Amino acid sequence: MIFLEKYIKRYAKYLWIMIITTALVSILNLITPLVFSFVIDNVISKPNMDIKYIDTIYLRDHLWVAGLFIIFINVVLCLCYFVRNRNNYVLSENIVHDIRNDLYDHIQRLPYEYHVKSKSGELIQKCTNDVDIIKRVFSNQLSEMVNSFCMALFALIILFRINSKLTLISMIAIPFLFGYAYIFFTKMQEKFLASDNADGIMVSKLQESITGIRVVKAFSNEKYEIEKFDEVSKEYKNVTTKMIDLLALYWGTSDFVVYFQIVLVIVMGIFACLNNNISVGDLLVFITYEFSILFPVRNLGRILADIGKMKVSCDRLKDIMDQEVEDLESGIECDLDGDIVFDHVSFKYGNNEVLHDISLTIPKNKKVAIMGPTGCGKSTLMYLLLRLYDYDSGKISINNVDIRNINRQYLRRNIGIVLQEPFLYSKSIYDNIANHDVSRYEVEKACRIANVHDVIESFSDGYDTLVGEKGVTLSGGQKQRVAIARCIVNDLKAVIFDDSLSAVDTQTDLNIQKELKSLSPNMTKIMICQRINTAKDADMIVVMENGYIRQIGNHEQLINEDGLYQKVAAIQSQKIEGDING
Amino acid sequence: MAKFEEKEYNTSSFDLNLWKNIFLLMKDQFKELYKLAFYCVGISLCECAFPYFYKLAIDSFATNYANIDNLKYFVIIFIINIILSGLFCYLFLHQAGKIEMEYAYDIRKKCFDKLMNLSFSYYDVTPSGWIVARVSNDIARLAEIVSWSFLDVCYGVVKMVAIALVMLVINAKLAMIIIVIMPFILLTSIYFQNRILKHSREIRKINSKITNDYNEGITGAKTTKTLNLEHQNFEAFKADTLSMKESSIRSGIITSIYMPTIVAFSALCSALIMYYGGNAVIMKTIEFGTLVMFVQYITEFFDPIRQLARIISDLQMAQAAGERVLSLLDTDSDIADSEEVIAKYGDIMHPKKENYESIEGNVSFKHVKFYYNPNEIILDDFNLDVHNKQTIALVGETGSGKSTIINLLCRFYEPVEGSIEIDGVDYRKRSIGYLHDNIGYVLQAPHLFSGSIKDNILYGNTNATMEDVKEVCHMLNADSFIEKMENGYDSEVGEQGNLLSTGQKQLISFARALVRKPKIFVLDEATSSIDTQTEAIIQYAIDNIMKQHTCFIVAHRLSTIVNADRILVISKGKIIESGNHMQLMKLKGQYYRLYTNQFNEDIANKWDVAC
Repeated sequence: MIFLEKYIKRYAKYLWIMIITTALVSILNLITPLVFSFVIDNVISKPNMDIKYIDTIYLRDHLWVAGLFIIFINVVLCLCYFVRNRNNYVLSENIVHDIRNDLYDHIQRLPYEYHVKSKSGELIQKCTNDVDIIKRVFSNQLSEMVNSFCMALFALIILFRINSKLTLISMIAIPFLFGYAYIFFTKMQEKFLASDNADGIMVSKLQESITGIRVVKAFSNEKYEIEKFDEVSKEYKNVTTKMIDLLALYWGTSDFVVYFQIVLVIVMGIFACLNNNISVGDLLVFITYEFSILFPVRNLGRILADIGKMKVSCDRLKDIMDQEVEDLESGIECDLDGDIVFDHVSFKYGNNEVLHDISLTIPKNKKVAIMGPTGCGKSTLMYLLLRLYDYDSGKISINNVDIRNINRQYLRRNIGIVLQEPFLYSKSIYDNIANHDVSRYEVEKACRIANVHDVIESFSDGYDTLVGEKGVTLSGGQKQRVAIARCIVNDLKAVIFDDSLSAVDTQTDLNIQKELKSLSPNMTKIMICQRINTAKDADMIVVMENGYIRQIGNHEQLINEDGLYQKVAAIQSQKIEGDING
Repeated sequence: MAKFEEKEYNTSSFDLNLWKNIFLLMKDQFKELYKLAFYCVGISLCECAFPYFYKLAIDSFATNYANIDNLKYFVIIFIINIILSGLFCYLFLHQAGKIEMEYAYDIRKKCFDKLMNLSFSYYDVTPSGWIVARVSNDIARLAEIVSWSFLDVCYGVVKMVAIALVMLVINAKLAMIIIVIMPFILLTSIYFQNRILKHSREIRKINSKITNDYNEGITGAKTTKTLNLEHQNFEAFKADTLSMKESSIRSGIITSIYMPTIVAFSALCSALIMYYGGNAVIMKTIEFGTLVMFVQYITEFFDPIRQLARIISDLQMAQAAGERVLSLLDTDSDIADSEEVIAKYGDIMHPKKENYESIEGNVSFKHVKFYYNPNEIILDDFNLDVHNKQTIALVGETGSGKSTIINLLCRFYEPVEGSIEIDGVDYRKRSIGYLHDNIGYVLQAPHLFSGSIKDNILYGNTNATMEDVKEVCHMLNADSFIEKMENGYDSEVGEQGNLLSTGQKQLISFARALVRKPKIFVLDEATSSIDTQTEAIIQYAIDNIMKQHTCFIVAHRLSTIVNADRILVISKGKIIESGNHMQLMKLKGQYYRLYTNQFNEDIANKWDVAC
């Protein structure tokens, strides 16, 4: 609940309005029966001359005045209702609005590492469902709870003033009902869980059968699947029916308890009336108020259960908000037009050192290829350069400035990276590429460089084609090329291709590199790649293995040097010749 | 390109025809619905009786000593009424829950049966997430709202009618007050309902937008970081949450006006009762208790109307859910056996395997024409003859039609023109079950079901014995890794088989196909790169299989098919080159180009090999 503190403080005003108006609503609701009681006792049955300020005889002849009074009270009540309900919407919507924004902003700022590890499905679930649960409590249950409390409290106070003995009698059921509700709803949680579980099992079975439909059909196991699904579907039905049955039992029996209490009050009330301890009007008040007291108590168990659920939701959201975020704002914005220098850099991922003592200078405006087997640390090295991870020892500097002093956003704005598995947003291709307000001309230019302009133009909607679930499905190579366009559309000092051409054919690969070279001569290009062809014409080739730099040089040097590069090149040419000559 | 488009439903009003269909789905529950109606009348009558008891208490006992002896009867009858009311309350809720669950179960079953019967043309254009959401969420929501909202509506209507009748019988003049005011309430309600509906639609739309924002923001977080889009995305998100807040509050205000308006009507009635009723008491035309009873009735009469706003918007939600569920149920499968075939070979649920003929494994495509869309013909006059135990490899670029050939062979789709014959008989003259019984199919991406390794292998043939399972695993050289596992063949594979490596999953899916002892083997080879060791093991498995079956291999890694009897290079639905590896390499045509080109794509692995 600590999670909510700041929001509650921010909107404390609305919370107070809610409490005050709810209290008013409960008082006003209790007044109408009192008016009736008064009119019955003191006006209709026999005008009571002892009442000060009110001329009961006049009232007897002009009953419409009393009617008007009731209308007046209720108009005030309606106003209170309106203010309260509107206020509840404002309160809950504001809180939820702020929570949503905070969550979204926070999640975006969480470090790279968090997103690598987290399960996105779960996270989305929390952001939507858990927030909805909180919303429901603030829009509804909270004021219902206040209302229950006020109603019961005020009703009891009024009843005590009328007749304390009868009031005590009318309170007999309260502890029982309260205890019953509490025990019941605690029990109910188990049933909820069981039903939830059965639902989960059913949905995973469904999912499995649908995603595996090819296997199901190819093996003509439809019958088997239908029977299997029927089994879990039936199980869910049975478990949930039991849960609803229990609920029905609760409402049925508590109904019984409530009305039994009413009978008790009526019978004792009748005797009190006959003994002139209370008036007929008072009896009416007792009967009406009894409902106002008992129904809220009966509901309390449910509300407490819902608030319990909200607590769980808050804890889950707090877990997210407690994760430390990246600092995107602080740091200097300096000229990055210079050499990139890694100076004895080491990096641990968990307890595992994945980069050892890396020293490397990437000269400005040159093309550098970084190669090596999977897991050699080549991508990680680039993540360090972008401050996606923070290195443990050594120093990375650009143009002689330690990157730890450079603002992260600024750094990433000037050094672009195309990730291995790029993510395209489900907007139009144009909107995907046109980041940071670039012009149409620049977008098309970037697409031409990335060799994807013609592909895009071939779609019927051209650049306005939607990407993703509701639009076209791009092939791996097309996605990579759109991602490249999106990256180079901004003015960059350096660009990193993290194996971004793996799904593009050799010819296109070469085209893209040629375009890049001629159109952006003032840009450092770092290519993480697998193909010797891609690396061949680089000014510098870095070969990494197991977190170490093994070789540095150009193609000519490395091909003649005993080492990994030569070995790989040899295996390749051997294989290709062997295959061709078969 | 096949695109999935969800129909835009018109949810502006209630679609009576749709609701008729939703109710027809409830056919099996009609008897239960009668019971529900009975309990509903029961509980309403019991509750209507309570104010009458208060009237009796005031008129006959509280103001009159003479009747005190009868008090015990009063109490007994009162308690009987309480017991009945508690009992009906239980039965009523119990019944509604039962209907909800049975109804949901029924529709789920119908949907799932339908899904198992639908052909691939449906699955190819419908995202699986959409299907799962329909069968889980929509059905649950539909059943919940249909049962409980109707419970509310029934209960409300019966109670209001009962109260009105009782009032009319006891004092027609006072009852007229409610009857005169009723039309005004109705008009006000209709006015507000329309507004509330309009807003709730708008809110639902924004809500799904926000969910989508989260989805993008979270799954795309890494990309967002590298592109510095945090700010831009957050601004877009803020605009959505702001419009959500504003719409919700606007809609909230309307609801906040509606409810008090009904309260005001209720107060007006109370005041009128006070005036007319009070005067009547003074004139001694009615008793005190009657006045009290009427006041009580007024409050209860208005209770259901207060709920109306919620019920209407719930029903609208149910309508949207119902529409989607019905659209699923109304989808027809475009591949089905003819009646004669079903008569002889049985259907999916009741196959008559005793009538299945034995099979040699000769396959021929005769003048096959196929397209998904008449403007883009994929295969035209395609001919192919394959003898049993021959291995055919299909090679070609994405979209060349090689997967289509496999889909047609497996009868996931049927030829638009021409025929496919198995041992000289058009496969449409035999059942789908018959064909699939004789085909062993291995998918590109191995899909395993949660359960043990044994369960997964037996999925291919439920009649196989443990010996059969061990035999095929031995043949595939899969037994070595399985036996090394703690629980051997009983080891769990996890959801989608994710406790196993890709290579292991691939081997299990080979075993699953082999244990069927199929005559025709179809292999859609994996594209994803696997480590060299696994590659060797899988190559061994494939070579083994090729010797014994009629084999169709869609090859992605060309090294796998060097030993195939015939390699077909497919381009734009035509066979452009045909022959074995040596012949095609010498030809220096398309195959040669593909082979040398692909080499480049394999290089990623070679780095690992070199180390």
